[in-house]
Amino acid sequence: MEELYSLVDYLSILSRIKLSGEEKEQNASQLKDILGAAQKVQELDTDGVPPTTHVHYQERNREDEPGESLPVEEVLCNARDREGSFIKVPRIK
Amino acid sequence: MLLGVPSIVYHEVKERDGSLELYQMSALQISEQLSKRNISAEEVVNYFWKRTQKLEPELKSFITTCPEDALEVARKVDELRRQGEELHPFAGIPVAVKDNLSTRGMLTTCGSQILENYYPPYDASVIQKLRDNHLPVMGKTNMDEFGMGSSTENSAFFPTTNPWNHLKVPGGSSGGSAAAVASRQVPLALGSDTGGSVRQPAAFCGVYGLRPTYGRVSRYGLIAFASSLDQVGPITGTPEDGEMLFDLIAGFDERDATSLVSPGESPAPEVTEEQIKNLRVGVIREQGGDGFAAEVVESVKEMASFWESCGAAVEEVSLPLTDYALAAYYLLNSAEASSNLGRYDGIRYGYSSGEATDIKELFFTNREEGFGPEVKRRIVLGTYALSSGYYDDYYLKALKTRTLILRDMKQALQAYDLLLGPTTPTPPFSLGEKVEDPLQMYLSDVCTITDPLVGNTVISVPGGFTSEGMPLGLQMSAAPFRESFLFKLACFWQRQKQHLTCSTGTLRGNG
Repeated sequence: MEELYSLVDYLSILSRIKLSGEEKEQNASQLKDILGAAQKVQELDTDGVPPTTHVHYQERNREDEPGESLPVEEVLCNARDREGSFIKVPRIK
Repeated sequence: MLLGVPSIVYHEVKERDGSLELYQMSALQISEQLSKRNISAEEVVNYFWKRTQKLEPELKSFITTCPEDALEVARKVDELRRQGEELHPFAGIPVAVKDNLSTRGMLTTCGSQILENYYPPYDASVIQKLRDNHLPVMGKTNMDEFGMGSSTENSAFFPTTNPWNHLKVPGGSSGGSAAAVASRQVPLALGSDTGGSVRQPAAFCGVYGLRPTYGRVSRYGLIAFASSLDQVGPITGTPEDGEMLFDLIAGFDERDATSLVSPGESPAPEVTEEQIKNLRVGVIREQGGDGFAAEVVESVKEMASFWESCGAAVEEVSLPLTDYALAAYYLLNSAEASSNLGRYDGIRYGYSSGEATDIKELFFTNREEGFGPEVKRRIVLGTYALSSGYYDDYYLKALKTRTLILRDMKQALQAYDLLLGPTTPTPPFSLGEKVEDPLQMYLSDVCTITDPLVGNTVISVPGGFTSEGMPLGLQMSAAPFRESFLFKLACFWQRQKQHLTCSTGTLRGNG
C-alpha cells in the first residue's frame, strides 16, 4: 500500500494535479482494485498481434490552404488574464 | 410509498376531443401538426418550455436552459413556413443537447467545475446542423463530468433523477438527455457515447438511444474524453424519430480527422417479414451469467423468442473476450482522457484559482480545484498506463487486446446479422448505491463497451419493465454502417411490443 501511495504521489506530479494526503490514500486503494481488474489483459497471449488505436480510419490530407480563423476577441474572451491580444500568465520560474 | 411506483405523477392526462397532448406525440407526429399548420412552432416551444419548468425541480435534467433562443428559432420557423419555404421535418421541434457539445456563446460546462465559466467561441458541427435545420435548442443537459460515469452522479453540479422513479439514477453519462426525453421535457435529445453513455441512460430511462458507427457523426466541437471511442448519438422516444435525427447529424466533416468520407448505407426501406425470416440473430452468451439480474436475462430471452417467432434463426454466440474488453476499455479510455485533459490549465479558458504566484503552482491548483474525484482517478490511472515502464504492460497490451476483440467480432458478424444482449446487467440502480465504489460502477458497463472498441453501430431499445416498474433496455448491434437496418428492426419491435417510452403515460407505439 505504501508503494501505491508513493506511486499515486508520483502520478499526481506527472499529471499536474495537487492531491491531498487523504485523496492520495483513497486513490491508492482504488487504484489497487482497478489495476487488479485491469491486469486481466495480461493473461492474453498477444505475441505478434498489432495494436489497434483507431477503427475505420480513412487516411486523407486536405490541401494546405489558409482558411478563416475565429475572431481573436472571441477566442480570448475566456482567458483569465490578458493584455491586448496576449494571454498573461504568472511568472515562469 | 409503494416500492417502484414513480414517486411523482406529473399531471393528469388531458385529452382534448380525443386528440393527443403534444408530449404524447412523437417528434414526427408533432412535425405533421406543424406542417398542417394546426399548431405553430412558437406554441410547440412554449408548450415544452412550460413542461420543462414544471418537471425540472424533481428531474434536474438541465445545467443550462435557453428558452429565449429557442423561441427565436421557432418564430423564424413559423415565418419561413408562412413564406412557403421547404423545411426539414424537425424544423421547430425542440431538442436538448448534452453539455459537452460546444455551443457558441452559450455556457458549456461538460459537467465540470473546470469549465463552469466556459463560453465556446464556436458551435460543434452537430449543433451547426441543428441550427441549419432550425431545431430550437432548449438547453444543455446534465452529465457525468467529462462523460466519466454511468449515473450522472459525477456531475459537478447536481445529480439528475430517473423520471420513472426519482430515487433511481437515470444512467449516464448522458443522463440529463435521457431523462429529458423520457419525461418529454423535449421530444428529442443528443448525447454522446464513449463506452455506453447514450445507450445505458436510454435503457435506464426506457427510451431509444443509438451509438453510430465511429466516424459517421462529426466529433468537431464535442469536448474530447477518449477520442478513439467518442461518438454523438440521438436519444428519442421512438425509433422513427431516432433515425430522422441521426440522418440529420451524420455526414462527413473535414474538421474531424476521423470523420468517414464514405457515406455508408443509405436509409433502408421498412424491413419485410421475408427479410426477418432470413435474419441470423446471435444472442451473446457472456451477457447473461453471474451478476446479471433475472429480469434482465428474462427480457433478453423474450426478445430472442420474438425474433424466432418471426422466423429468424436465433442462436447463442460466444464473445469469449468480453471480460478482457472491459479491462482494455478502462485502460484505453483513461489513457486517452489523461492526454486529452492535459489541456485544462485554467489559463486560456476555464476555472482558475486566483492565488497562485507561479505558473506551475497555477496548473496544480487549477486542476486540483477544477476536476472532480472520478476525473482525477482516471487521469491518475491513464497517466500510469502511459508512463514509462508500464506502457507496454498496460496501454499497448490493451491496444493489442482491442485487435483480438476486433477479430472475434468480425467472425461473429460473418455468422450473424444482429447481436443481441441486455444494455445493462441490472435494472436502474439507486442514487448513491455505486458512487463510492468506482470499480462496481465500471463493471456496470460490461455490456456496452465491446461495440465502441470495434466500431460497430448499436442501438438500445426498450425491453419492458421490471416488477417494480423500472425500464429495461435491450441492445441490438450490427456491422459498421448498418444504422438504418437497426432502426428498421427497432421499428418492427416497437410496433409489436408497444412499450411505453414516456414516463407520464399514454405514448404507446408510434400512433
